[in-house]
Amino acid sequence: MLFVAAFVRPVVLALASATGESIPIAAALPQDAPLRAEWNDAAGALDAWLASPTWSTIERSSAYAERMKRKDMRDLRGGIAIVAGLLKAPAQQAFAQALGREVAAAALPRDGTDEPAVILATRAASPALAETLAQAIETLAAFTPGDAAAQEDDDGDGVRSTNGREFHAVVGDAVLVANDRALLVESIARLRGAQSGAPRAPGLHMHANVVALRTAGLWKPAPTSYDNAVGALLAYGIGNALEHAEALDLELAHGQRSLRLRVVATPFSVDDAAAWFFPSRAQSVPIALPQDTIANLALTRDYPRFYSMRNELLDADLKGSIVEFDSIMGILFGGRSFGDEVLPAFGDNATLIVGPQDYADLGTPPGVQYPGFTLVLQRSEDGKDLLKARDLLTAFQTTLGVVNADRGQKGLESMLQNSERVDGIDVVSARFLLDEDETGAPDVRFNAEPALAVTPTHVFVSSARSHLLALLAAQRTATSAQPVAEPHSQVRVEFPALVSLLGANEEALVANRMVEHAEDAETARAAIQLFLDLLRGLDALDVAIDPAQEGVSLTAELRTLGAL
Amino acid sequence: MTTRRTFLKSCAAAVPALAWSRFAIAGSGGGAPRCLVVVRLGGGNDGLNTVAPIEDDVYRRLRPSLALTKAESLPLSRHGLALHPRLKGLAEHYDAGRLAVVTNVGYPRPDRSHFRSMDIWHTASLEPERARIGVHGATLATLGRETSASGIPGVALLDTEMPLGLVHPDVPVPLLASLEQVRLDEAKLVPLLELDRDTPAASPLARAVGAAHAATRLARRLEHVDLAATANAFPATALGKRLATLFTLLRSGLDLRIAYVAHDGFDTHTRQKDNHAALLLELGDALAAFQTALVKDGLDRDVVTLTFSEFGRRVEENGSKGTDHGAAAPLFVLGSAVTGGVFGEAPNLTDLEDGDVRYETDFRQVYATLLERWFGVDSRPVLGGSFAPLPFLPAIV
Amino acid sequence: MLGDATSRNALAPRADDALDEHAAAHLLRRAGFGQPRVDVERACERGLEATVSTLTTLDPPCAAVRELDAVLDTVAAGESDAVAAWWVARMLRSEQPLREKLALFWHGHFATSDAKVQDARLMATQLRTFLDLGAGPFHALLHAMTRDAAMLLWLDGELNRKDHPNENYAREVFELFTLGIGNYDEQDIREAARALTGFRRAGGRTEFVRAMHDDGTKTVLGHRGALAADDVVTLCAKHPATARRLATRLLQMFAHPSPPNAVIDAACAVYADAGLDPLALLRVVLRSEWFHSPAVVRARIASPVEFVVGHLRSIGARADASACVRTMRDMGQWLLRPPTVKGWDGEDAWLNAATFVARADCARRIALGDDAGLVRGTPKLAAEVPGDVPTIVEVIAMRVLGAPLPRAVGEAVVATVAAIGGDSKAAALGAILALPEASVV
Repeated sequence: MLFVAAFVRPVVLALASATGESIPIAAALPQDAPLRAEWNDAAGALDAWLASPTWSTIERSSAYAERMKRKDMRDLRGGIAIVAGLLKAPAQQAFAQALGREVAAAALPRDGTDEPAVILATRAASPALAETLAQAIETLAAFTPGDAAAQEDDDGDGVRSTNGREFHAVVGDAVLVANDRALLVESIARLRGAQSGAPRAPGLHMHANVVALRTAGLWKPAPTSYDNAVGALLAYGIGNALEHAEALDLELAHGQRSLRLRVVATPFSVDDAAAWFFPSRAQSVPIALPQDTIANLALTRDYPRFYSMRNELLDADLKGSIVEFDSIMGILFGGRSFGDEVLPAFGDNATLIVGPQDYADLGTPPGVQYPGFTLVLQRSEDGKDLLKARDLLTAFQTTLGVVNADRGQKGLESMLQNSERVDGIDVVSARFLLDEDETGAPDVRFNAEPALAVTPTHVFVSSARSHLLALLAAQRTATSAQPVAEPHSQVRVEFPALVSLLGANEEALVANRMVEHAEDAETARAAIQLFLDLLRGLDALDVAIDPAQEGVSLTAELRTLGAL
Repeated sequence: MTTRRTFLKSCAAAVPALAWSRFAIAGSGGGAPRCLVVVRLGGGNDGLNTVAPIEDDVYRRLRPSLALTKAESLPLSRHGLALHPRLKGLAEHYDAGRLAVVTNVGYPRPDRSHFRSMDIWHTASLEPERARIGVHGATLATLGRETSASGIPGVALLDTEMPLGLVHPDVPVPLLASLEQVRLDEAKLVPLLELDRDTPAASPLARAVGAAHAATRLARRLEHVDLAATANAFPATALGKRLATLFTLLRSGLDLRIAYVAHDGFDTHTRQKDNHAALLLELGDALAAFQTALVKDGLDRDVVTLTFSEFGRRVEENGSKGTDHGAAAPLFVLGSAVTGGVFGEAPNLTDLEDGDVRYETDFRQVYATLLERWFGVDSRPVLGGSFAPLPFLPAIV
Repeated sequence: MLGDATSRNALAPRADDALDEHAAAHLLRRAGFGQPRVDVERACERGLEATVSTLTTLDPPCAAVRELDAVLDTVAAGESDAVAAWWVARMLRSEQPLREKLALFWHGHFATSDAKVQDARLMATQLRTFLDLGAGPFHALLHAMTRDAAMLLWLDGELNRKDHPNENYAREVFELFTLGIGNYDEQDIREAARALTGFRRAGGRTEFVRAMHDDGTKTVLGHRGALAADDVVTLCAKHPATARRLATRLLQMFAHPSPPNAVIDAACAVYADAGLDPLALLRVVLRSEWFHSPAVVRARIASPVEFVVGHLRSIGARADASACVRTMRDMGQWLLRPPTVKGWDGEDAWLNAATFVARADCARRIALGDDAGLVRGTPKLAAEVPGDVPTIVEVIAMRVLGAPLPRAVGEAVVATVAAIGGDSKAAALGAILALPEASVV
């Protein structure tokens, strides 16, 4: 077959012109396919990646060498070598030639079978390379089971097949492969009839026709209840919006120092049950963050409505825990209803901020350092009547009393309460006491110094007093007081600050790795260093959900410090 | 010489050479061993709104926002007592004569600390310094580890900490959070593990083979349980799921003698009405489904279920529409072998002890009843004293 | 009373110094964990006496263990499970596993649980004491335990004050840690509790506060005076019942769950003569004819720690020690969290339908290697196993069990390997480690 094919030269069409314009390879795909994807300039992305400092850090590491010795990686590399051999080029070049320019693929349902019809089209570097690629496909296909009698050569329509299960064609510098003959024939025709156009934007683009996928039973319905409240707060509305979406578009693109992913579901519509997830968003003054903030997460939700629907939104087996939670909240807030009288005292925006702690008061920092976590809630105008600062401060005291009573009954040390005024703001906190004759690093408990502060506009609840004080200071010195639209859902991770915290815990990370990876100290330290080095190359990660009239989108952007 | 003999005796006790025999009797058929299911209502269940004295004026006066009305609640046969309306599932078993309601259960000088009082219920001892041995663990130790061919005489269907009630140094029992813990990851091992060995019965290898057989027997039987159907027969609540798991284990022939399940969250200091109702609904529906399933599969005569809470709640409601820690309270014993009805008087709300219901029945009498009349053993060594059994189970003759 | 000569005869040395593969494996399994190939070969080369001498001579630890030792404080800043994992890592890597096995023995003996202590650093300190003093005379260990901060919290030593004695620790010292029931009376406990007053925790240490100590006159075990903690320790440690009780427990751990009386008599004499030094006793036991007799070989049920660590060492695998701790917990042995002060019952109590399933599941995870999250990298065994399935089964059985499988079982394993499919080495290893034979040590 291979031998024969080499002599049957396909008609060469000049698909690429000298002007830089070309016929987009995606033109070959059926436009009504429920799933379509194109990947342009993959070679550029691969080149950039292989030239990046991140990759060279990985490649030089012993962990990478170790990993490459594993059987699955050996198999993978063997496979790549075979394909590269068939394409008569080194692996990277072979990839660039075969898939590196424009690749497009589509899948659509086929009658009478569960297996969808799939077509993949790629633009090779030249018509000659397209033919080499086709031959490589034929060689590889010969190893797969099939009906040798169904072998087929190009008899004018361009369709070739080794076994009657795969069908491929070479059209100029394009190679098309499909598992359905009719689909391939149509695609060849589409490609031949297409107009040339400007070069496509680099990156990966995917489009899914959700309606068609749903009809084909390929769309898994979103859960209607969650097994934990955080999961529901993060995802419920997204799941519901996807249930209503007709189309889903994904874009993945890299820039000089960034990698960006954007997913859009259109149109934007949700059930009433999910309305709490997308409250109308007010303008507010953003919370000022201290310089060394590690991460923050902001969620704007209608929390009282979420709470009132808790029994429907959460799994039935959480009913007991929900009741328990409600009772405890009742105790802490002096008998107020958590759903009706506590939650409505706050605005729709809640922000969790993660930052380093200052252990100056302890002398020696603990052997393992945790960051401080501070939850910042807005106080709504009505809320100030519902819940006065005093109510919140005493709720903290009640909580501490309950915790101490419980610890006392178990024979554990209690925490000592502290109350202070910082620039006119009441701050209550609690801490463990160091033993007078304590030597060495304090234990992990000393990461906890829970604290609460109430300002006229916000409530700060923190796992660490020092982090809370840093946040209060940042609010005081904040320069901008311009209200902006509240984000719907936003996450930011600052890698330099994260690396700094992890660096402070390096000894613990190394020790842990020695135990969990059965490594000697040197190897473990090298692995941790590699991990930290990789993180050192990163700048920040931003993730945001944005509901807009035309569609709800999720955007994630990873920025690096050096070239990506 | 005495010293040495005593010492050897204690060595012999430490090395139970005859314990292997439990495997020898495994799967030999005959009557299933009796099982006690203990359901903890952690937090202090409000007894007065579980079994309510609906005709008592004092009750209505002291609980202006919480008192149940006669119209809504489910009347019991006597004393003007009625079940909470959400215990409808249990009321049906009461009507069928399978539910005993024991009223005013407690102990002298009630302790109102969750922790202490739970320890008291778990150890059946009022002495705080008693060794940490649980009453159910001691019951299992009395029955002997060989009482269960599977080697699992007791189990706590929890995923957190072993409750003190089941702790006994001689009878370790597992925490069993899901069926996965008794199901082999590699099912194809079953035939291999079923092989017999030609080895003396008392040898360690024979005992290991016995354990392998116990595991495969359970695996084989689990294959025949329709898990989906079982799940459908139980409510999807946490307690419902745990009792469905327990039912599946019993169905599969796991010869448990004591199983411990928890249904916590009863510390209703504030806004009690809805929360308590939700907890009781979960309790009543899950227990009713469990009992119904047992009846359907003919296992009901071998299983009784006991509910308990560390204390009841204060008679007078507090300022937050809730109730504070109290003392004596009613408890339930459910099962086809149980003599149904109300055991004890209605709580006397005009003669309170520091604002709480006085105990009339010592909780150790309930344990004594189960030990003597359910397991057929002398209750005195376990309870460290003599407590009169109650008539909710017939005496063994 | 038996004559000294007679009693010692019960532990008379084995006449034949030569070790075959089976005997060497038995010796290694008992004196340590598992039967690593290279150790078996070396033992066969060097013979019984030389091997026992090496096994019971605890030199400073090897480099891998020294490295681990250096990070204990860091590990202990976390949870007690991390300390347990550190210990398991040490067991897996130690070239002198007897030190770890003795520490495991003392952890079961002075069974202290972090469930109550709730401080990983204190658990680590106690463990360190078992590792440092566990292979030496008992008196020093008991002395250290009486001042151990974790023990102080565990048995309410802090609540034991001059005017409010708490008898918890005193009771367990008599009943469990030293003499055993029948050798003392309630009066001894009450008086000893008074003598033990005055200790208080100060950070990670214990301090003695004279003002809290009852310095009145007490009578303990027939001795009268202003007794203090050290006097109780000495009285208990030198009491003949203590030697007997501990010698018996050591025999149960290292040799046989119910040793014959003559052997106990002999062991007790050796142990008492050596000032309650466990190494001195083990040197005699491990060399004895009795220890190598068929009645003692495979007479014990492997504890979960012995099962996991032993098999991993036998196949020469590196492992995630934290995952090991969790799988041991599923089998009923949660290190640093024993169920009661009595420790783990052991033997029969290890096995029931659920714990057996946990063992078989663990066997499967070990066999699946890297992908199952327990083993790291490729075990040495994998490179050493040749050929067709029956040969694979035969070789693996010898390596991990130290004995060939009965024919019917071997054939059934071959059939199981075929049924499971995939990598036959992995399937064979998983099947063999799941056999009841693999739970007997």
